[in-house]
Amino acid sequence: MPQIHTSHPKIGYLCTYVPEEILHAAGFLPVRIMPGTTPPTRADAHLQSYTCCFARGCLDLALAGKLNDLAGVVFTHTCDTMQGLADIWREVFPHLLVETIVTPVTLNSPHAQKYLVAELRRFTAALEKHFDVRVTDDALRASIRAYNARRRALADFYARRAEFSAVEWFNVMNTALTRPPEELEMPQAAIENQKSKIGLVLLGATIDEPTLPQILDDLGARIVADDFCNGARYFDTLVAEDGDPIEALAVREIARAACPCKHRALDHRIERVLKLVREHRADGVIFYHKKFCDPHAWDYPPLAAALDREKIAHLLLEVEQVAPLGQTRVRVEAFLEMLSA
Amino acid sequence: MSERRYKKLKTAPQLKTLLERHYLAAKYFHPGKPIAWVTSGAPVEIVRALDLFPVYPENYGALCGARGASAELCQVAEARGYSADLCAYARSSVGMMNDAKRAPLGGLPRPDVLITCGNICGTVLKWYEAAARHYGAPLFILDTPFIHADDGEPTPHAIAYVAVQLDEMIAFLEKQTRRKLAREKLFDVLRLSIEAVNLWREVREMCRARPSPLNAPDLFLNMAPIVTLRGTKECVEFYRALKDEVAERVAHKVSALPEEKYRLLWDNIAIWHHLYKFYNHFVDYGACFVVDTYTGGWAMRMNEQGDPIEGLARTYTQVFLNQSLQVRARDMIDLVQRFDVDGFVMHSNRSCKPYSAGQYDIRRIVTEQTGKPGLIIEADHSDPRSYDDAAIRARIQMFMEGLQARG
Repeated sequence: MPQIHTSHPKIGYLCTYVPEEILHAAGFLPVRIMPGTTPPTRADAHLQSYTCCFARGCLDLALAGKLNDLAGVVFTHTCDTMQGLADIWREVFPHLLVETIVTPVTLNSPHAQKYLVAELRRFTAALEKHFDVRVTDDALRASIRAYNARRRALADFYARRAEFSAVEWFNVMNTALTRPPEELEMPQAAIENQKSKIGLVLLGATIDEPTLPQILDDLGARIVADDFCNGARYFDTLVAEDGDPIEALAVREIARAACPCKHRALDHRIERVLKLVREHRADGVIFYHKKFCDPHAWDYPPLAAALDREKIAHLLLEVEQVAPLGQTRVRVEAFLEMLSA
Repeated sequence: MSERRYKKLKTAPQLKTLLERHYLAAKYFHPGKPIAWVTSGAPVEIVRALDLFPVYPENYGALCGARGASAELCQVAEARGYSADLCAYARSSVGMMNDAKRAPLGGLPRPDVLITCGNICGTVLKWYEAAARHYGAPLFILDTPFIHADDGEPTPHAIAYVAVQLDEMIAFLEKQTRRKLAREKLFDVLRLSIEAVNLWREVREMCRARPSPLNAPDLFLNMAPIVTLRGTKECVEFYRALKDEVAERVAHKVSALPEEKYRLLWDNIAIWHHLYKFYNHFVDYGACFVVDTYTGGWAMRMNEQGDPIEGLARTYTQVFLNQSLQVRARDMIDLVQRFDVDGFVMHSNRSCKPYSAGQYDIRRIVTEQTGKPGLIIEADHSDPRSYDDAAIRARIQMFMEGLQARG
């Protein structure tokens, strides 16, 4: 297994459809790029104000020189904005490796997997060529084992998340995604969270900053499940540790809980969300949506209708870069009061 | 709506009749032909060869915009939870699904099948999912991997993937229609498609003439048949007549504008809700849009030789909206040079993120390489609610005065 230290070259990625294992097996530390919390004014020269704060925020960090330790950035094909951002990134940072793994959209197609295997091999070859490295099957298998171990550890942590605060949950997840797989910092001791009575399911693309978790902690609500890209969807499925490693990675990509940019079945996400609510006996659902995020905005009306049919209460929070503390708190508080009434 | 202030085409009544007939037949008279909703970039040749009746919700969205019906239909969708930041074509379509009596022509006919192709955007996936839920109609999704490569060439595995899905699409439609695809019929439709596409490309190329025989709104209005009737005899006949008329204008040096002083390029979808009013601001300065990136989307090169399925896979995967900003910038530079324009105007279209994200960089690249200035105007292709005519006019004035100062 290649020795990875944080001092080793890092490659950034923007979506959990990027197989970290391939980057890791090539000798890099894969780190998830998350937007900063200052207004992304530098990105205004490249992206319109009607694109999402995630895309603008990530680009802004790079333009501010805060990602100068990255040897490359890897995208996958998801939404229209990220598709555009990938080309912009390539234009602005021509010296970096900027690659997009053009993942399939129709995950239910019987041909998607074969295509994805070929695309992952193309990407691996591009990586090898750019950095003059070799990605061997043995190294890939070792990396798969390392990331599976981390996914298992995160799943275990999630199973015990009732013991932890929402802020701890947020910190564990976001720290893990920037560290080597064998490093996982867990909160030392479970805290007493006496007020945690109301259980919530959180839905959205990514959760980038801890305003909402902090509010939930303050108001005594627990996050019992989520569907974030940098949340439960990250460790949702493991990679097979035998067989061809690239094929195993492709199988996992297809089998994972799908992002709304992808199509598994017409009502895949509706059924998944209802299952999360039932399995975790949640009292309500919070949609934590970014303004201008089309795929999640599209999924909102059918999801909201399905929750209404099941008489499950829900709240839509639409945020820009940082959730406005006062307003968010007032709305969440009213929602929790309604749930406990 | 404002009137046009430039020369009207003699073929205009023919265009009007053709489209009216299409929408009336779609709604009331299509014996034995199931209705297929298709996206503008879908391989409609297969749909036609199986004798379905294709209708185009995007074209209908443009029609809603041009007829001033979009805002109300969008509000119907927004009241049902659809964000006002989503594509206005899609929002007005959702509005139409839920409240047809507010919709022009009483709305589109109910789909028997839905065919969506991701080569133009990600929105059409979600839009057609919504339509599939609403109507309970079967949905086929054609996944055309985006091309980030600088040479604009799809990977071999992408072509193989699209080709095998086209076989699946045929099987899907055969099952839905209980018909067998006759290869001969597919070839017939393909030939008609290729002929119309070639005629349309020739018409566009004729605008290289000085003065230009057409202005942008002519291109926008006359692209409707290439989108909605591609693969039919009527479509070919229409473009033959149009080509004759445009060729005659060129031969007699007939200008679209009263006087062509400036030649411009247009980028992105038309501003349908202020079509004449908006472009008249440029007519005031004698500025003619002689070419655009949008209507060229249906002037692709189609090949009659070889395996038709692989040919379709290649053609539909390579459409310009499935290409990187680098390739789109290169294509725009080619148009700037070949059409000898003085500048370009980019519509930063709130409704169309794949077309718009990257425009700032494209503008910089095109100006660096050609020396021609570019103006970016933010608007929406069909939702008029954020359109600020006074502010837009002021920006146009500044841009045109800059061009005048260049001499």
